[in-house]
Amino acid sequence: MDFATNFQLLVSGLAMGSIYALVALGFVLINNAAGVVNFAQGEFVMLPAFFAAVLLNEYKWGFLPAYLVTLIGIGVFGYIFERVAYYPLRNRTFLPVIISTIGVSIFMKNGAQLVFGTEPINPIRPVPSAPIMIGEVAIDPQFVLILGVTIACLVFQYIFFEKTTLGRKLQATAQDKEMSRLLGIRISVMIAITFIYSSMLGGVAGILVGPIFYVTKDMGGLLGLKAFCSAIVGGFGSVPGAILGGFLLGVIEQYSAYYISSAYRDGFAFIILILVLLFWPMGFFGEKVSEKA
Amino acid sequence: MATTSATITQKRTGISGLTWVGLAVLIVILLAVPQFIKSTYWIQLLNLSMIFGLCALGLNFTLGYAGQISLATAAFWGIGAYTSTLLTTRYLPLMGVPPTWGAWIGMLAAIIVCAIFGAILGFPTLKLRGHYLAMATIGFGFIVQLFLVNAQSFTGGSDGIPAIPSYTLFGYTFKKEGEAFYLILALTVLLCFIAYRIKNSRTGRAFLAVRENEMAAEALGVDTTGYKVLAFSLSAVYAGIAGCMFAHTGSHYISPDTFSFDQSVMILAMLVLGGSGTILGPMVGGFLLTLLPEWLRFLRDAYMAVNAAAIILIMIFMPTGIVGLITLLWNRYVRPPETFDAETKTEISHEARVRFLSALEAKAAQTAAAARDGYILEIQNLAKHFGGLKAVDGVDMKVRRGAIHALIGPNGSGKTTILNMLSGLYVPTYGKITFKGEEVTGKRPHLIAARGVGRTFQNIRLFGDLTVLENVMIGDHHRGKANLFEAILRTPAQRAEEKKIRDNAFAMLEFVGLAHLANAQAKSLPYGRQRVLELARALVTNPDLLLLDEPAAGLNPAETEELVELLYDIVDRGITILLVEHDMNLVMGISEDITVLNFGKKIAEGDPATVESNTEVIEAYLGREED
Amino acid sequence: MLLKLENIVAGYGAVKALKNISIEVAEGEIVALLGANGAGKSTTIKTICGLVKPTSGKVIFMGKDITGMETEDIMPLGIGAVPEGRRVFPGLTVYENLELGANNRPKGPNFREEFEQDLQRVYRIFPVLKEFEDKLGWTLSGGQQQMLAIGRGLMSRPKLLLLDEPSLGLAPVLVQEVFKVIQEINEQGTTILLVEQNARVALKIADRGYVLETGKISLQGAAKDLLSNEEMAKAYLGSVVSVKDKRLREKVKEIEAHDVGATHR
Repeated sequence: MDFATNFQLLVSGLAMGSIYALVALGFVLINNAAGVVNFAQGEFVMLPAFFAAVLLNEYKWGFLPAYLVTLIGIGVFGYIFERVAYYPLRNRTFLPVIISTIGVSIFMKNGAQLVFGTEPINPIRPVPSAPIMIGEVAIDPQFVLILGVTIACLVFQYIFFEKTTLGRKLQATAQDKEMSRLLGIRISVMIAITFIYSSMLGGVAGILVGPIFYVTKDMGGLLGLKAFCSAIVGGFGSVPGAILGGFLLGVIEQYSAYYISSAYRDGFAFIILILVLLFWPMGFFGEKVSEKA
Repeated sequence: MATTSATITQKRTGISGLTWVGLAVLIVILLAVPQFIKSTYWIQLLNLSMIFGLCALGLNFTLGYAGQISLATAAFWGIGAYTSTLLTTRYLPLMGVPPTWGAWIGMLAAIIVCAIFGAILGFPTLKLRGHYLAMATIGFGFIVQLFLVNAQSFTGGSDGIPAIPSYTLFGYTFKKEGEAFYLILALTVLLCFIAYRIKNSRTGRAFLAVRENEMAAEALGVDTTGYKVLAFSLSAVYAGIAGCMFAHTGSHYISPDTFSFDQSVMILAMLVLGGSGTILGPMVGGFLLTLLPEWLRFLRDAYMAVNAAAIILIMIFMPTGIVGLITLLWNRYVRPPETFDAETKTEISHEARVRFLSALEAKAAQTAAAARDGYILEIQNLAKHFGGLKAVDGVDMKVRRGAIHALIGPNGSGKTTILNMLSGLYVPTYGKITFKGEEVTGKRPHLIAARGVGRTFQNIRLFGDLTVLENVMIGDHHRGKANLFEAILRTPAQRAEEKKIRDNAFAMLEFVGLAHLANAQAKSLPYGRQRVLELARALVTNPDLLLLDEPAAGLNPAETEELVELLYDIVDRGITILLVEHDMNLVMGISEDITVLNFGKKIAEGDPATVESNTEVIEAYLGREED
Repeated sequence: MLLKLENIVAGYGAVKALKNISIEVAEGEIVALLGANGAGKSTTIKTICGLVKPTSGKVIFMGKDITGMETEDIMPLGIGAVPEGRRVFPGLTVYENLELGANNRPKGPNFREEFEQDLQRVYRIFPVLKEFEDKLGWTLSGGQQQMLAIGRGLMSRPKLLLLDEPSLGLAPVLVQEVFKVIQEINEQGTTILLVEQNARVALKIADRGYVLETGKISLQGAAKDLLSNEEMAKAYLGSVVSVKDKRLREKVKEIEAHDVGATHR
């Protein structure tokens, strides 16, 4: 139980938690705006991770141009996704939409394999590999980068959604679509913007997490599921909940893997999920407004 | 009778004679298959199709019938496979049981283990819905797979377990693919048949009721949680049997990565593509999605992507799946179903009336025997708070046996909330509800319904996809006793009970004038007829107290008149009516006692004349005279 | 005519909620649309706004045929809606709700100025909204939410304001207040189409009224005349207690006579 190990676990936990938070945020935004659970959200992390990795490693692009193009690319893809997989099914019950997003997830996975090949890629890091030493504690600089960028994103998110008119219109669409239409807000545009934004959040996550793990076509699946767990733990539908849920899950996962069992590392997210669902189904920040008749 | 001239469509239930013949022909053809297809590769694929089809068929119980999403099918497939394998290869030989019939014991064990685990997984359904439930099932699947990989000494870990023995029967070993084909085919046909039996039984109807409208099902006495857990168990058992088939045939080898989340997704896709809610659908889906990748193999690396794209397209254009599409085309071009004219109305035959009324004679006698001046329902200081909102704020009310009692008040005064507490859909924040002398505060809805409380809903809650007759038959659910096994075996007792339920339901339809629409699809009925159907369904539960939530809403004067006649007949036979209504004419005209609510509190009560002249009531509800 | 509905047939599915109705609203009027639950009042509002597309008939606003147009294109033409159940955005503040109300206005050069003017006007009419300016929508009480919803409807400077059941769930005292405000708004130049279950209170301020019964218009006329119409009184004002017709009367007698087995007092 020494301090150095604990601190390292905390940092890596927060870093992984940041990734979960970003992806969970994407989930929740899409769910609030369109009422859809996007089972392909994890693939929206995998695809930009691949894309950026290839641009950096094979085509030797600079970091900034590579990341920028990746983000724009995944944003465009998010728009296409909205038009193809969501829009035609928007009035159906949730099952066809879920299956449709699952279909997209499979499509993206195998599409990535087709385009990028089966070899896992380890993208070039934007920060030095040598760990930062604080006394005895060794911190991976990439973790610091992840945390920093995530916080920057969250700040941007807050400003965008709370302080701009467009952001407020997006909130309105998520809270009451019909009323928004009555106020002349074009909800199909709002929803499209939400999808693009969520995709870009996934893009940021993908760019950040690539250098830590090898980028493979399967990395999205588990990541997406854990992010979904985070969103539920925090109270599905709540934006701050998704963020806090992500951080919480990341930290708990790191600690559990170290102290309890590293073989079952991937299972902890689900165990926590099932516990939360059974005992606090509203999550920590769930519906403030109580259910009415 | 002023109704629209919209046509009402019949819904085909059951399998017609033609279809049985078709199925028989199909089975004969299938039996001949191994004679013509000699390639073991393709036979193995056919075997796999059936195995996956069985998984999807099982999933049908949870998803197609009970309407719950489960993405853990592959986990049960794996649990079944591993249970049977471990027993057959490791533990049974230790006990001296030869693998020849060890495999059958293995299957039995797999069924039991899967049933238990399925029930365990079903329990979260108590609190979870929709994608929360889906997530819990995904989590379950992941944990199972992790366990299979990591508990190496027990499960063999990622190396898997090879050399699994085949099934033997009467000295015949089903080792080769062609031989296993017959065994798998036989099991498939058997399990399909069992599914068919279940679907057309009381249990099957309960499943459908849960899917169509859970709240209404509870209010009719269906233990919805129990049935959801049962659905999960059944799904698990089917997948488990499929797992046994998988382990003891083909490559005779299992390993954890086969039983993955992706596989569960594939099985779900098979069900949906084939046609959820049907029996042939999952088999067709299993066949297609197992063989499609093979046919698309020429696309090599792109085939999965194309596969996925195909799934999306089918979801967009064919939501009822392939079997659904075929049925649609069949109904449109080959044999259009009957349509009914909404205008006509069956004459209520005198015999039907007598039959119905005499069925209630017993109730009337029973009620007369009870205390004449008794109160059938008493609520004391009843309250329901939703966070800060006090929907009902301490209400006392007594309802006399055999009376027509109205509960009125402006919108938002708490009327429907009280009804919901009375039928058990809401748990009161505080207060006491006493029904027939027994306290029922906070009891589950289906238990309250079983004690004799029937209800209708403000926004009609019919089982839309089911027929008119089926809707009423579900009303009789809690008086039926046949369980799952009796249904599968069609014991004489079960058959007699089914007949009785059907006859009761039909008699009820005759009584309310809907008999000619018995096979019509409930949601295609005009509004007024739907209201009558909901009332008939509530009546057939044989209630002592009938809770009616705005029964006259949306009815024209002629229909309202018919409703009133019905209500008087009901009350004549000893059933008490508690009525929430806005139609003042109706309320003042037929009620004996009235309770008036405003903002969750009682502000007046008494007979119509008293209430009507009460100034507070006039102010709050009818509108004040102000100059 | 500011608004005209001609022979509208509309509804969800095979059963039409509106079976051929025609309504007119002239500029400067307050028109009341009355009827019981399920009569089709809300469907009428939805049809005007384009949320429900009629299967036949026409909706004409300010001389323009808006039948079949999308809601987002209809409302900016000058219609403000205060839908049933208030529908304030729960996660946005009072100010933000009002701000979004102004979304429909033409964005001319004086936009900011006019916006401020209208905002102050709303605050004058509903002082409590000024007090709660920064509070989130869900924290407001029912009555306050109703005021916010109306204020939001006003922010779009509509020529026609549609109010769907503004009295729902409000204490009588508040109802009086809200309806006084509606009158005031009308006097200041906004035409009002008012859907209400509380017929008396609606007809008191209305110029004309229509009564909907299961999708058809059963009565129409000047509000004064409707108030004193006996059928109206029976059906909606409850001022006449009567057993509906002779048959019911007989039924009552029959039951009282046959006390055997019956469990009446």
